[in-house]
Amino acid sequence: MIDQSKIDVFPSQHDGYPADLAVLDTPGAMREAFADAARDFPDSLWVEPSRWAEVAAENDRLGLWPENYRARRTNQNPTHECTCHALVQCMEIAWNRQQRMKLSGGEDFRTVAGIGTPVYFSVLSIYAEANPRIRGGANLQTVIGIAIRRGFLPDKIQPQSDYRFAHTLTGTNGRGNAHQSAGAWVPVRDFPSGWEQTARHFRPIEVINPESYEQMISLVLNGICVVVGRSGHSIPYVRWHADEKVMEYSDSYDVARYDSLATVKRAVGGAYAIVSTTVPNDWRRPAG
Amino acid sequence: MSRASIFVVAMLIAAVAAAQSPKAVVTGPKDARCGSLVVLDASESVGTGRLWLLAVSPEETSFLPVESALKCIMASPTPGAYTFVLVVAGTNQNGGPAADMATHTVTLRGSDPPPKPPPDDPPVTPTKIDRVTYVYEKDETAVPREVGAALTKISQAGTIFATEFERDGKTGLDEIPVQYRIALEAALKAGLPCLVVQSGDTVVRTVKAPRTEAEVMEALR
Repeated sequence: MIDQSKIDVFPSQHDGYPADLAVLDTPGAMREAFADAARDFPDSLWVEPSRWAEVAAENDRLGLWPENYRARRTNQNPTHECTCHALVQCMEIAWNRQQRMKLSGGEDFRTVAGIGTPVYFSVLSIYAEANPRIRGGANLQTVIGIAIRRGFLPDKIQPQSDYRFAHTLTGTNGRGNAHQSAGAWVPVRDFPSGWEQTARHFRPIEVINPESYEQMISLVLNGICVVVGRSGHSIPYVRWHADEKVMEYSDSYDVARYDSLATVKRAVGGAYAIVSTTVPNDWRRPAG
Repeated sequence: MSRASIFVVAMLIAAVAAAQSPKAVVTGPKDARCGSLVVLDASESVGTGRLWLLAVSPEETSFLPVESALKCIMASPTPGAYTFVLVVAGTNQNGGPAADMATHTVTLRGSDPPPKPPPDDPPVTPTKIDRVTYVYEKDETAVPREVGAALTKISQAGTIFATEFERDGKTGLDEIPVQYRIALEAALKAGLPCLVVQSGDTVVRTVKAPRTEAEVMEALR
């Protein structure tokens, strides 16, 4: 049973996606930001609304939600990094889903059961460029555009110790947690020398701008995380609860919350979904 | 040949001195296995009397003339050359006693080694499947739910890389990832979507458009 107090929560401090920036995230602007990564919503991913409950039940049974490929939570508090925390969650889920890895554990942190190489990405590696002024947030087209163009740096904390990345960066300028490194602000000019050579290996390759809430729900039903921005805050949708008709998201405050269907409908426009990411020559060496 | 044998031969020749000119002919195998029954035949001979002698043998061996010495039977477990002498008595053109003699050597070979059992089926080396990839083009098909779940189950087992690969996938250097080149080539040849099962760089099999967990698991057998 879903805690009703966690549905449609819009705290006043959720201001990393301010209205003046949000208004710029039109479908056309999003597609332009995607550049070569822009993809139309394919018919193959469409799920008829009449089948949502059936497919949701199947996802519950088989563990096929975006939520099932989420390895950790993040914590941005008290920064304005929400757009990049949501982006990182979406990227990590896409990365993990391609490997079809089995993640198990609690809600906040999961480990791989069997084979899989999850990577934690640095929120700061995107946000530092999206908003060098630190405070004030960013819009979705800017952060996804940066990620597509030059990629993420890995977080200093990784779920596995044998990746030996040549370049890493502090995960967040916010609070972070046991699975997200936190630290002082790092301007782009202070990124480790040659960082681009590592970041290029971690880019979204195919990105969709869903044109309707039905497409957003269809994507989630297909295991694809959808990032939206609404009410001043950006979040990643990870599971559709068909009975309650609410969308679960992994909020960047170390917590799960939910959007009602009405809120989901409002989130259409600047939303995006990362369908595929760069793929390494060998999953065991994510950065080549 | 022993003295006794020579004496018998001489007596036989004398006894048949009046017969027609004798001719000794021995037919029979020249090669046999130890322990087999060897039959020598003197029926093509011409004469009134026949005497079988064993002139050479690797050891003392018994033999048995039968059918009035028209045939001679022997068997021995010992390999080697056995030379028989057939003496046939008769008379010459003058009516005097005459004899003819023929030799026949049989070589016994050691018993053949027991026949080799028919070769078993070639030992089956279980093909070590270490990679299974669902290759697809998202614009044409989503990953079927059961296939996605099956890949996760396989990954969870911890011995096989079970992943999906979208046709447009590329590395950070915009190349086809080395780990998917073989699978992609095989899948494009078979037609997308396709499940490609590999053992190292060898494609073990491809399964076109699987939709169920059972199809995926069957492909790994």
